[in-house]
Amino acid sequence: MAVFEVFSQQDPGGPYVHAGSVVAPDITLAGQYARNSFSRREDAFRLWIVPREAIHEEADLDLLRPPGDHRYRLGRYYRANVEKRKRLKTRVAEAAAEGRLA
Amino acid sequence: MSPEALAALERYLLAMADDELVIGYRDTEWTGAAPMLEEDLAFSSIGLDEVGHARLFYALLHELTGENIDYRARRPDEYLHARLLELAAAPRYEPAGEHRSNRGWAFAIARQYLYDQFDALRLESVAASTWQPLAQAVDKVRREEKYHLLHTRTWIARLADQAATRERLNAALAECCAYVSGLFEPVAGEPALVAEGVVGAGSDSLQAAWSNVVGGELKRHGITLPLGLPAGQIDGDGGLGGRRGEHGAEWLQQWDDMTSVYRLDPAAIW
Repeated sequence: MAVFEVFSQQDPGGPYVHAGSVVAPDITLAGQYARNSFSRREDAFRLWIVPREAIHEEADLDLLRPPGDHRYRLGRYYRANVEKRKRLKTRVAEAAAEGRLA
Repeated sequence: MSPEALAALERYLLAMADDELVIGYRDTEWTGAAPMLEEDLAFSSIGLDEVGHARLFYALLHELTGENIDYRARRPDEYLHARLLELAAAPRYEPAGEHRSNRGWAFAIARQYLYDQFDALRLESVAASTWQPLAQAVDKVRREEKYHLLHTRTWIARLADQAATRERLNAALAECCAYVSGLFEPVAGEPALVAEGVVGAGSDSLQAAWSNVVGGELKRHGITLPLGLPAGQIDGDGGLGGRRGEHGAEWLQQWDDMTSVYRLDPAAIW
């Protein structure tokens, strides 16, 4: 007997969400049991059935949440830089128009 | 439809509905007793599907007869299911402490497999029925039955795979075969149904088709049985009589269980 993890898709093209797990002697029965346990209300569009041992877990927080300040990599942070540059450009243009630039 | 065909269709629908109700009830007895928790759910769920199909066929009967009969209020000899389906398979625990193992899991699988093969052919034979309501209802039922066969085929393959379980499977199939003729026992007036296209094929041709399909599939697992032999050539009476309301002692027990709550207060509204 082995544990199989079940992922279900609610709509065509949608993401697969972890639904739970089943215990079964092989992948064929696991698929049939998954259908019973995780599409009982006829709500799944597709199911993925994965042997738990095929799943590699990554849980090292040094890798997942490095301690340094990496905010500059984030889109939100980059957006702030774009706004800042826009403001500077405006100021330079105004200064040039007023003849304050050499 | 001629009066003969109409009367026969009534019996035909009742036999179909009772088949589904009786095996469905027996399947749900496996809740808590199947080989694994997941199978408790799977097999009980198949049972509930069958009970759902029974409801559908009882509703068709209401439509056909225009009478609002309460099908729970029948005497045991008014049920027309095949006798194979009433045999007890799941273990039974009496409150008083008595325990009966009954025929067991291999029998439940063998019976469900043999019955679903029969049911698939029967549904196919009414899929183009000249009585429209039946043809329409059958489409939905056939899609659900697809899963049942998928599941029991998987189990037949598993049980046939190892010596110990294979022996049990063989014994179970043999016991089922002694009752199999009862599935193909025609209801009175069947020729009229076939003549008027209400039913596409008679019981004889269903049995021939069934023997081919089942014989072919089991052969791939190296299993050969006296499938489809006339009743005289196998032990017992072939399980005949069900379509006339004749049943065995195990049916009385099942009927008693099934109707016990209803009989407490037949006038109650649920």
